[in-house]
Amino acid sequence: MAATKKKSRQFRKSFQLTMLALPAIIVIFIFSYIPMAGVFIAFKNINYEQGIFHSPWIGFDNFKFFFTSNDAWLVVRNTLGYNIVSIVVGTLLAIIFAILLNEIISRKALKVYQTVFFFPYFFSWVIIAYMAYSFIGPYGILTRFIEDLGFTSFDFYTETWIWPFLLSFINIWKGLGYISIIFYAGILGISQEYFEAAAIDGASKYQIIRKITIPLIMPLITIMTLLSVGKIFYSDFGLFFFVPREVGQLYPVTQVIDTYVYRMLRQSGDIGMSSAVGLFQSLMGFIIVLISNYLVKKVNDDNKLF
Amino acid sequence: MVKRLKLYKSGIIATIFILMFSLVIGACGNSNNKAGVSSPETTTPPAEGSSSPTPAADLPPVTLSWYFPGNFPQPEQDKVFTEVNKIVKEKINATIDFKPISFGDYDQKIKVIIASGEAYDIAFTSNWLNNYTQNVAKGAFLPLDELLEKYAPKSFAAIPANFWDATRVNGNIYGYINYQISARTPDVATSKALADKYGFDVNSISGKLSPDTMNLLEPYIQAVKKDHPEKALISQLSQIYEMFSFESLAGFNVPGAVSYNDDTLTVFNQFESDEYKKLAAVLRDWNAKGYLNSKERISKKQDDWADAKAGKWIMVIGGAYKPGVASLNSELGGEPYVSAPASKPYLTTGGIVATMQAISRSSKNPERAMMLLELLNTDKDLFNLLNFGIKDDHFGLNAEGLMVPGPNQQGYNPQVPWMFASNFLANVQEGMPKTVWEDTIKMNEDAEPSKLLGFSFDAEPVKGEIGKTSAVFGEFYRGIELGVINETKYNEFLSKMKDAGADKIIAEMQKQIDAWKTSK
Amino acid sequence: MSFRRTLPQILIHLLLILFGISCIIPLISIISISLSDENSIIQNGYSFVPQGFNFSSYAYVLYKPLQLLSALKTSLIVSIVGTLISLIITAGIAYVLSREDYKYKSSLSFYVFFTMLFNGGLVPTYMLISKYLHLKNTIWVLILPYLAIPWFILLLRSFMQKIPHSIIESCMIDGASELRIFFKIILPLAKPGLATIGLFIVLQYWNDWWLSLLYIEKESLVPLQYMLYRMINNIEFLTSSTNAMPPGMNTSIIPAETARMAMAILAAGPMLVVFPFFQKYFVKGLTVGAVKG
Repeated sequence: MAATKKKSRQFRKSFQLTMLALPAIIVIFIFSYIPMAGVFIAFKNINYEQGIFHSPWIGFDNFKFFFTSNDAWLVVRNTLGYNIVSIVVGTLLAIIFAILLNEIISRKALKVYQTVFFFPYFFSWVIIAYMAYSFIGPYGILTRFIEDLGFTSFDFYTETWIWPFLLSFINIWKGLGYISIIFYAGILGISQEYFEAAAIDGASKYQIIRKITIPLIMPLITIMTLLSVGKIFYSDFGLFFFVPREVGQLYPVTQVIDTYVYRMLRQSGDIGMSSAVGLFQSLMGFIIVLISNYLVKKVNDDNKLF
Repeated sequence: MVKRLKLYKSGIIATIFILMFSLVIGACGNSNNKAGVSSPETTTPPAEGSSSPTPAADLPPVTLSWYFPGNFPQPEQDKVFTEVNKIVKEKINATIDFKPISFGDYDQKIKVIIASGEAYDIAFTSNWLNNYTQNVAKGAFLPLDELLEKYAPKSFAAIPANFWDATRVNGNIYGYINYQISARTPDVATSKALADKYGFDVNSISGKLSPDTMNLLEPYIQAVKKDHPEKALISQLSQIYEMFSFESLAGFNVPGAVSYNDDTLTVFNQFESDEYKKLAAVLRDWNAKGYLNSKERISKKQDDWADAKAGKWIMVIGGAYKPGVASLNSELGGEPYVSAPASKPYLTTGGIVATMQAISRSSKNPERAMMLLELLNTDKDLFNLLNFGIKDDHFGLNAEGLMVPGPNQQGYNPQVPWMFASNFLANVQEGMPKTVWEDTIKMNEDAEPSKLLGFSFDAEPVKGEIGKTSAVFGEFYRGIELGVINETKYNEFLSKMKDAGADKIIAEMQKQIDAWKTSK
Repeated sequence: MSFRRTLPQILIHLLLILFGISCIIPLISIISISLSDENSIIQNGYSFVPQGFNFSSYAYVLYKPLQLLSALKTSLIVSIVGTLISLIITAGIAYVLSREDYKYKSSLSFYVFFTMLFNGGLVPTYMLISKYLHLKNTIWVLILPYLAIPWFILLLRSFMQKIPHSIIESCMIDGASELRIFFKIILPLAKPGLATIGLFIVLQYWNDWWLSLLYIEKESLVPLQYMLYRMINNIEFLTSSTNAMPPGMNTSIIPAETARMAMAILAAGPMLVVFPFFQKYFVKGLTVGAVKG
């Protein structure tokens, strides 16, 4: 009797919670899962006369063009490289900034910083590319400054070595305000009691940060990292396409999977081929996330993604 | 373990859902698709003797949707489109559902619309936007031969037969040509004031330029450069490829070309030709001499006339030479310009299929769409309304009947006369010779037709290689045209092109040309 | 206050100010470009001080301001309505996922996460939205697809996981329904998280041009950000030599760089006002500890 009562309460609880989640479940189902049925496009040679449903199957032919291209491995390397740097350095800096912001005593200064750090996020990559050009272009502010220092004829757009740093910097710079807000809000969510208790025990600032702040925002850090790891085979198209201004000599260090595929398919615009590369990118990211999630689970089950 | 099992289970459930839905959508797509294919047969009326204009009242009212690119939206486009529809309604009892798309979005948007099978009637197509042959190969457009004969006899007759032949794919016409300048050669232009000051007669090099004779320009460049180090010679591969003695078959950035004077029609890799290498060498030399201002131009994707206005150009080789071009240049450059053709103009398939309208396979009223094209290509006032806006508002006519900007020109000025219909119906702008369209037609007629006219390359079998080679071209072309890459680098370019499948493309082109030759 | 205590503060401020400057400087440079004269930029190069100070580029962009105002209206409606609905929906599922005792927690998390990586691609999505849902050219097409974004859901879940389970437990013993707990207890406790995600959702709606590019063909429904994107993208197309447009066909006089910058400033401007609105929730004291105490 008691057992059935408990069960029915259990059921009611699950039911009510499910109802709470239902709107999102439905939206996700409609806008994400239903179109997923179209994944077969990657395996078809699309012909409009027959419609996409009746076009001939061609197996893995659509994948071939990418993997047989000269630069396939180069662009995969670049994609992974830039992503790893931005995940590691970007996350670290964002945590540091969040902690620093939390240490600030003046409310007013805090508000100003947060607002200002958000500026880069308001502008699209095309605009940021213009900004960059106005600094490092041949008539840019920075270029002329460098030339005034006596380095005659310094040209950012032909120096390959500088671009990995530059693109990583711009990428992190643009997202830093955004990501540090997440960690900052995470720190705000930490119960004041912990800090007070630590202060009473005479812990130093550094100790508090290491023993309380960081461990308590660890779940947030983990989830953010896991989510970015899933996208590790994708890159921010706008950053790599617009900022280097399509200067061909820079391709060896600026070309990533998304820009490469875009440039290859710009003319033919074949949807089968572009779907194939997208599927590959997702699948690789998925595998990596499954592995990392498994590792996270081993370390701390609470931090896992699913 | 239990958790993992659950995950596994949810995975299975998700898969089942996806499969179910793909079946459902598949079924819907199926029925829709059938309707789409059968509609042209059922709706084409047995219009016997309809070559005589049908009175509008007899026609059932229809709405025709038309996708086209340009500098859209224009602030007052709705006002103009309403006026256009008044006339169209009266003449052929149709209403145009205008779908103007900005240049930058057009390719993406029309691709999705075509792929999804959405119904529309007319779309702009060409060899550079909404790719014509690719779409024809994939079955996106309707064959137009019969429709042209029945519903557009006047405009069909107004365009020479060899132009129509250029649009044929496997014997059928799929594109309605927007008649315009098709005989193409680059335009050599320089500011009149500069030319006068340094005693350069642009006509002295008229039609004489080739990679061998580039030195004809050197004295002038050198003299200007001495006094004006900020000025440069402007030329780009994308602008001057029509100066070469060969025709590129799949775009200037894809290997595969045939010489104009080669009767055997042998395809070769133009980047490996002496002509290309010579030009690269000249540009390298000129860069070394500082003529090109490469350093500041390398991070610009394309040279534009804003620089000319700011006094940074010595001369430009690019654009297309055509009657009246000097006055266009003067408008863009903000001062009087003089012009000459760079080389002998040729009439190529590429020049003809550059501006066309196609009727969609998904169109429910293809015959009415064709009537609309006929109307646009024969009604001068209608065309000018669509092209330049409302008279005395967006444009005006001076005493001689030449067009001048209206008080409200910024309200509607899409600047794409070649996009709507035959360019030769357009009002002649003030400053242009009055006979500019007659002259242009004459230039088209006088140009030597390419031996490949009527052959169109189907890129489908080598689309992967074309993608790869055009990516290689993208990496090197700016370096070549600015003369900053040395011979070793150029050879690297060639070997990368080879790795990307240049030979396979060329072999495929040769195969198709040989087949075309025997079928002729 | 002793020097030992103020020194770290000074160093922190110094570091933050340095980064702050790197965020402001580019903004100043584009404002300066937007107020400059195009010719003098080409001749003299870029600088922080506008050259030939004038507002002509703003006059150009604001020609026929009705269009701009209608775009602003669309952007505002989409951002406000979208954010309100999306925040509730996102919070609902995020809370459920944060509950350790929810039976389907793991499967549901996976259900959400899976869509972050895999999608049906452009064409199937387009077919669904335009052919089957008939949302093309409606304001809903700009709102509905972004109502439940997995990245926001999972992020908010992490924020909510910090709410001690004991609070929920004690409410349940009092006999409160799950819905009541959610609205009366959870939402107020999760304010910093909700404010963060809310801000991100606003920005997502405000900055989006992709949905309008695909699904909006009616000028009256075009949002501000797409207007900017369209203009810039058009220029990118016309000034890129790899577009394969035959030479000589482009006779358009493209808007000067100064006008593009003016447009960028106009499109980003309103968001600078929104930020402080959300900021007021980033305040210590709204947190769990405070409520408990």
